[in-house]
Amino acid sequence: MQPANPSAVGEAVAQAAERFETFRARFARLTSEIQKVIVGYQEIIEGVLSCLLSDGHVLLEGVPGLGKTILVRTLGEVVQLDFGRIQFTPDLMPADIIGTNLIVQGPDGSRQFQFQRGPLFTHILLADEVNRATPKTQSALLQAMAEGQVTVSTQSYTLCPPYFVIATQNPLEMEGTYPLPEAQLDRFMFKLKVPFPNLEDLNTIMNRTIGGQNPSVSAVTGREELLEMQQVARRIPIAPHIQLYALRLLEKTHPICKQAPGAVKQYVKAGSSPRGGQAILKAARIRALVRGETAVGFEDVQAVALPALRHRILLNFEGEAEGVDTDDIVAQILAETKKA
Amino acid sequence: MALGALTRLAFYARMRIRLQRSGEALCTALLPGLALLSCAVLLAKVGWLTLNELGWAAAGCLGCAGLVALVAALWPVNLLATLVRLDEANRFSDRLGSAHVFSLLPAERRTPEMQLHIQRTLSLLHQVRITPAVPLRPPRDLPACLGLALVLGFVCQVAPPSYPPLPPLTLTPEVTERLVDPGRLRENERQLQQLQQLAARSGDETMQQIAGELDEMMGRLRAGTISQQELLERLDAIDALLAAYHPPEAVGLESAWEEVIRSIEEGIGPQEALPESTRALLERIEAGQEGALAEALEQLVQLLHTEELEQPHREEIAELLAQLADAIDPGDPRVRQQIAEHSQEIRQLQERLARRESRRDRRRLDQALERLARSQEQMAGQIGDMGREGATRQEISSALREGANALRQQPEEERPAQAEQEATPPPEEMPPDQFGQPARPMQEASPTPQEVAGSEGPQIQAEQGGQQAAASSLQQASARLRQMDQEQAASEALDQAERTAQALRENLQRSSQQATTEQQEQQADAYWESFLDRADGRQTERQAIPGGQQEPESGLQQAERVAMASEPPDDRRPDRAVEEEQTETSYGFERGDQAAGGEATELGGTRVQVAEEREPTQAQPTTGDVFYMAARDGFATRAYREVYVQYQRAAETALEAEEIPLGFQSFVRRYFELVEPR
Repeated sequence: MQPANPSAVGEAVAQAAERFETFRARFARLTSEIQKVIVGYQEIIEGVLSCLLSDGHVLLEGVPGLGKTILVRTLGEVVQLDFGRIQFTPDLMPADIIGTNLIVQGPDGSRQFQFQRGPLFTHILLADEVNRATPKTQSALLQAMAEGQVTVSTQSYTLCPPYFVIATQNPLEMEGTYPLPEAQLDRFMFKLKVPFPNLEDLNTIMNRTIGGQNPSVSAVTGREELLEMQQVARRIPIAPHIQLYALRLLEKTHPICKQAPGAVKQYVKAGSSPRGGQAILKAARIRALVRGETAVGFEDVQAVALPALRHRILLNFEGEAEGVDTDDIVAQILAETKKA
Repeated sequence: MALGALTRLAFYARMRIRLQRSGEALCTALLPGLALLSCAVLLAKVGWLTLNELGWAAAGCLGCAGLVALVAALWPVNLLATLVRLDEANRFSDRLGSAHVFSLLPAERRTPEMQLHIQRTLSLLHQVRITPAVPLRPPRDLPACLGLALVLGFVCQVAPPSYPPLPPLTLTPEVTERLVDPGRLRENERQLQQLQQLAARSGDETMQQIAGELDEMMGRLRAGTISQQELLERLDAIDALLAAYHPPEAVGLESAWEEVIRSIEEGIGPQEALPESTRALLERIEAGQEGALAEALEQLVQLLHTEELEQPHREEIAELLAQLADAIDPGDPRVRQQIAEHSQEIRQLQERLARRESRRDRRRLDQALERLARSQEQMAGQIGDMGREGATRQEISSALREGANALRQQPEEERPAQAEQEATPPPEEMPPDQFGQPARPMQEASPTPQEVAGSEGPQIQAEQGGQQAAASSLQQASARLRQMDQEQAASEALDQAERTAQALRENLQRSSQQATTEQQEQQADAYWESFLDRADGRQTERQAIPGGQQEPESGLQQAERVAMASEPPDDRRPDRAVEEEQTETSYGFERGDQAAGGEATELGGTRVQVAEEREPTQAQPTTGDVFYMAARDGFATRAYREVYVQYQRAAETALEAEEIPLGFQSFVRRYFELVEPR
């Protein structure tokens, strides 16, 4: 709350301004450092960082070879956080991810169960080709992503924040895959589609990779700084009419809404959960901060609405049969929703 | 202060929004307003709206548009939406809107980040430009409004003005002929002449004034200096005058004339044996007119004043007057006879009573008096039932009777008073009648109040002599008859004036309905001229027949002859036997109760007239000529149904306008039924 003293008010305002500037500077450093390795993909990088700073998770969808794994690995190096990678396969079991209790013989010769942590226990987890694992294994991630803790048998293990899951999936090779269930999808804050790079970016990628000189990145932030950035992002104000606008967008993803567009009523089976609204507002804050704003605006909401809602809209049979893209539906919702 | 700047900025933006919205609403509302106003101007141009009504219509249209614009200007504008609009236009990403919302929060709920946002927003207010956010564009409906305004100006400018006073209307003869039918106008003039005669005879000023009005209108109509509207207005004024005019109740002697004539013919011998004055009086009586009778009585009065008539002559006149008085007297002759008998019986009984009074005679006298009273009551009741006519007849009858008595009365030096005493009983001996007066002789058995007023007549007669007294009584009867004649004339004049005005109005209406094309007008004019000429007998169809040696005959007479005689002339009907057979079964002829029907017959006379040519010296075209002219002048190019309708209408008009017997009207109607197009 605002202090009563005007001088204190001014000081608090100045501190807030300083925090905002620091945030922007750190964000800019992170971006620039990642872009030393990743060519292009400015929006993908900002999206991934937004999810990281918003304490969310991201699902990257793209064909193989587009640098998804490199992006995640680079991110881990830049933020100086533990990085873990799991290649999801059909025979991957939940214990392979979470860990398991093992019988360990102590120094005194006694044997007892000891929890052996899996690769899940890290700060940044890359779940590569997450749709190749069985739903049982995929579900092993649910508690970790939603609650930041893991329960094995009767023992819960808290994950060390920040905990950030980056999952990837290949949209083309669908044979032998297990599409993520809605509950799993809803845990991801963003679903980012990694596009094929344009010719200029592709040329730059070739120049960097085939020359034998792999670019190296340095850590620009630590864990504490990252947590501080998350705290700063939570303090940026959102006006009520902006929040209402975001919620109207969310409401219109449901076919039962009277104001929903015709495409939603025709092709959508179920709309977004409230996590979609949370994702929009969190990401909008990061975007507003990054743009140098001191409050969230309509543009920020509009910009993050697509990655936050596209994977939360479930198409019906007609929509699936006609190959309707949820991006088009979200775009129509944005076009038909008045700001004020 | 800074927030005040934000509020002021929003105020200016909202003012521009209101202005733009007002202009849009004004133009939108002006679209129907101008359209309606254009219609109103057109209506005003054609005279359906007055200038005052046009002004109200214009004020209504423009006022409604202004009201709509005012409502649009005063309609609330969302401040937040205005600020969002400013943000979008200035690419501020909702900086102004959020700052406004944050500024509305209480200070304790306002975070440093919100304060920071407000401060940064206020620092950027100088960069805000209102014009891109709220541009003042011309209203979308402005072109349409301008177009409608041009239309309105065109309507105001081009359409002929109707408000400057029209020049005085001077109708040409052609226009006058279109206004009224010349043939019917002639009929109207005849009716007007009759009206003028009746008005002059009645001496009524109102009727003379109405006749003068109609005469003046007719003159202007002939001269073509009166419009149809003025004519109708003046006819309406005459109608109002006639409706307000109440002439004195006319009392005629129509019901008494036949009785008068019959009784006189029975009482008078051969008329050739009568003196000149008596014969003249008898002729006037037989004429059956009050005016003529009054005139005859005046002549008789003058004769009595100037000449000394001989006794036989006076007796004849007295007898004629007495019979005339008896005939005019409304009382029943049998009742009068009863009264005479009862009076005679009473006189005898009184004489007996004077000599010897007995109980039986007294009872008989009472019974006789009772019967006499009943008879007098019966007569009084008859007179009362006749109302004013009965009183008038009684009055005239009394005057005539007095005159007759006076004529019969000899001068004192020629006739002894004793003889007169024997002829008429003394008044004191007569029983009182129903009016309380002494009973009179038989011919004066029904006294009236007028008689009571003239009860001094016998003294004057005695002083001036019987002839002068008769002249005085006849003078009274003549005056009363003259008054009755005037009342009758006034009543007839009123009817005639109403008929004349109605006929003139119908003439106008029919002419306006019929005169659709010039060709129709020509045909109608020719038809009416020909019809009226034939009706007047000035022109006959038979004259047009070459070699015709018969007397001139009107078309109506021809129709009568052909229809009634059922034996047409031999020169036109060669096959007479066939014609007779056809005539027996033709339409319109009846035998007994069975109406004739069956096949149609030919009106041979008419056919022959149409087929033959008229002489070139004849001035007016015949009906056949009119038909032939129509045939030559494009008749074949017009549909038969159309021509049929015109001819049938002309025939129906003639049937309605003229007095044609019903039996003959069926001829015409049946003919048109047979030739009706199918």
